[in-house]
Amino acid sequence: MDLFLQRIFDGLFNGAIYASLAVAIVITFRTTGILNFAQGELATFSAYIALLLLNPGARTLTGSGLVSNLIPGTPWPVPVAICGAVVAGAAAGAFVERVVIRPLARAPDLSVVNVTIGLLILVNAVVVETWGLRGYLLESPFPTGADDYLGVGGARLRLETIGVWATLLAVLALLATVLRRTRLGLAFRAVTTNPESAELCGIPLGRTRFAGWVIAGALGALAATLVAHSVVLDPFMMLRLLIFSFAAATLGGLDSPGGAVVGGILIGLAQSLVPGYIPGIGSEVSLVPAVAAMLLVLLIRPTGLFGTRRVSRV
Amino acid sequence: MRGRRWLRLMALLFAFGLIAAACGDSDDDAETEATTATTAGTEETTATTAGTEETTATTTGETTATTGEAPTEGGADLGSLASIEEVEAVWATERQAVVDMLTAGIESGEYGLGEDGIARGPGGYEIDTNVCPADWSNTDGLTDTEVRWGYTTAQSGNLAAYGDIALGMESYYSYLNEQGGIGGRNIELIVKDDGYVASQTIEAVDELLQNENVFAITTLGSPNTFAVRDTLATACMPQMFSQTGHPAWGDPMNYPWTTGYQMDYYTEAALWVQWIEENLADQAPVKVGALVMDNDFGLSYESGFEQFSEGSDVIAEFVVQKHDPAAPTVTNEVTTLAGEDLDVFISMTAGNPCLLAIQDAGRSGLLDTVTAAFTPSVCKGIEAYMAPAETAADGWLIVGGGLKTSTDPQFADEAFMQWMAERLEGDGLDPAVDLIATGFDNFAWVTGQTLLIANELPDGLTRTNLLLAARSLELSAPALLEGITFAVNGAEDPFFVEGSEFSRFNATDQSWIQEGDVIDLNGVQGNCAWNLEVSICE
Repeated sequence: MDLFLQRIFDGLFNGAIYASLAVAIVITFRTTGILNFAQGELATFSAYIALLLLNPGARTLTGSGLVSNLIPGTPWPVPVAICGAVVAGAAAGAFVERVVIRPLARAPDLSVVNVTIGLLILVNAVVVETWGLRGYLLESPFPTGADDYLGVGGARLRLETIGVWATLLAVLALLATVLRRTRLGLAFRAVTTNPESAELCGIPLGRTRFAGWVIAGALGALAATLVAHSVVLDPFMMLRLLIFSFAAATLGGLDSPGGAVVGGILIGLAQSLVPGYIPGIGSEVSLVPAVAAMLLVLLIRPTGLFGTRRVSRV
Repeated sequence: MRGRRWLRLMALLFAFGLIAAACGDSDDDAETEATTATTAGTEETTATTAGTEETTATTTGETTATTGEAPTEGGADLGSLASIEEVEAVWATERQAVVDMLTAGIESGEYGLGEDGIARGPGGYEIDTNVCPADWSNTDGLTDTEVRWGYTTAQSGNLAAYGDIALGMESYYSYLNEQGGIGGRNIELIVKDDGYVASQTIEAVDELLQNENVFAITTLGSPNTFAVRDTLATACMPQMFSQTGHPAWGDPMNYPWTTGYQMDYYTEAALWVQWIEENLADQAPVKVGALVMDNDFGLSYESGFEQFSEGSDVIAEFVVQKHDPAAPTVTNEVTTLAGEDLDVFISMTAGNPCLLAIQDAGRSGLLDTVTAAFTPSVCKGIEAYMAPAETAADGWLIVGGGLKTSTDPQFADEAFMQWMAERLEGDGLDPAVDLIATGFDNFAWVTGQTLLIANELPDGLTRTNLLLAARSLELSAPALLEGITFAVNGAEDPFFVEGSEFSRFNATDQSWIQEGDVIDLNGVQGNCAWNLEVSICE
């Protein structure tokens, strides 16, 4: 096996995991100007919805028969279940925006961030109470058997890696189109740049932010369902990933979805290559290469690799 | 205007709610679940606590009540008994034997808390209470109605599945409380979540010591137990039946207040070496690779394996990849091991990484090159760690620690197992969750038996009596495979379970299939004064 190549592939897959949550974080920031700490938890919640749609017998607070009794046709095929989870994620984002964030529209950003931290704890507790502590491996829409890989130069490029990246890039392309070519995208940019002026121009602030949260919720749900086959799905799945995803988002630029993806790749590669080839750094300190990469980039470009440089008038 | 004020008020209330949720006790399940509903179909008669003299069950060995001699042999074949009442009768007899032995010793002055402030027990066991804090009392944590027991465990993070153990423990205690508790006192379990993070264990234990007035404490996790061992020793607080197999808990000379319970990791490592030497001798020289969790827990496995494989004719090389305990994936480490051309792969980890290691070993091609792959005893839980891996889990070997899995069909008909399943279901718990069952039939069972014994000793339930009872246990454990002794002897043999079976996982049947006979190593693992600097037992 070619170890170097295998490590590249491993780094790419881990990078996809970090990038997917990072993109959701960046979208919220890009569309609403808020750093949402609860993004991961809402995504985990959506992944559990996928779990229920795939395994109606899974242990829940309400017993194991509820889903199959209420929702026809369960268990659903994997791609359909994932769509169901994405819808649930969008709904969760909508609910949170309406009930929690909208009343704080005029509050300082830091207050809103604090509220999202509280939301993280609340949603986490709800998930623990509903589904318990044990972990699951969610079925993946891609082939994940031991033999499902492409042999490339002695290393194994898993089909799952290709599938996740293809999905991620497709979603990114869709997002880019929305953000650059539609009125909604224009509205997002206006709202985050100057909310007062945007309102004066007739852009509905509330509805625009609402759309941002819905999109971010849907994205987070997609991210969680794709990675929950390779990272154990339990109430703390996204908490474990959050630090890496934040590092990826910061590295790539907090308002650039493409940057989040590049950031994810860089962090994933740093984690797999640094312990392998730099003596003295073992993989047990997996956070160190990630944070070091972020630090290095921020020293040279404080707004991240692809972040917008803010120019303020003096 | 009014609308704004109303909105502000709602926002404030909501924020308060979030804060309350955040600051709320993680021990809201502290109340033991005394079920008010009667469990239909169960046929328990009332109290078979210590003192009843039903001897309808057959017991092996004889009871002796003279000073210093070993009590009942334990090791009764509980599986052959017809009802839970018979099983309880066996335990009552065995508890009485321990009580009689210790009482005789206490009355003759050989054992017990002496005038000199030293509590003595069998096998040269001693606790010096003169060094205890000035405000220390032998009965702290006992109220008129409660025995307050503190418990720190992982209910979040990578090892959160072990949080289910608490549920099983509470269920068993609710049963004991229904029977009258410990001499009229209910066992009250106060649970704190430390997320398997040692610094949080320190905080949790400080809370238990300062605010919760507990009689004894149980900690889960090797780094966590280490982190508070000195604090608890200084406070003269019993650190009982630590839920970790680190050999360091078998050190009664230096840490008399600390005990373990399950088979220790050194014994497990020795058995790995033994299996390899017996089964792969024709493949010598054998290269072994291990995925090791980077903390005290993983280190004890690694250190044990290194020591026992030193000078082996069969094992030529041992390579290790360490991983961060909180890591979301272990792919990088397994990939590196896959490139080492191993003959044997041993997973020396716990929690979610158990499952991830199995999955990654399959995907990386590691399983194609090795002859044998081991998963550790702490990863035995089928529901949590084997089932989700589906076919990738097939064929994995384990040195299981001599415990019966609750889902194993060959034990499903046993009186105790059926009764346990009924009790758990009555409390709304799923007996198929191994970790819940192990909380019930291992950790809570041994705690309950020890409390019942201690309560019958002269001076009744005190901390020193609790330790004396624990250091003298010789019982028939309901969850131990037949042929494995459950016994300790004071400072001479501090390990309760020193034996195991070898099993192989059958993914089709979702069960562990035993290979060969059980190996009983009772008394073999010597006391372990763990040297933290070089990470070995001394």
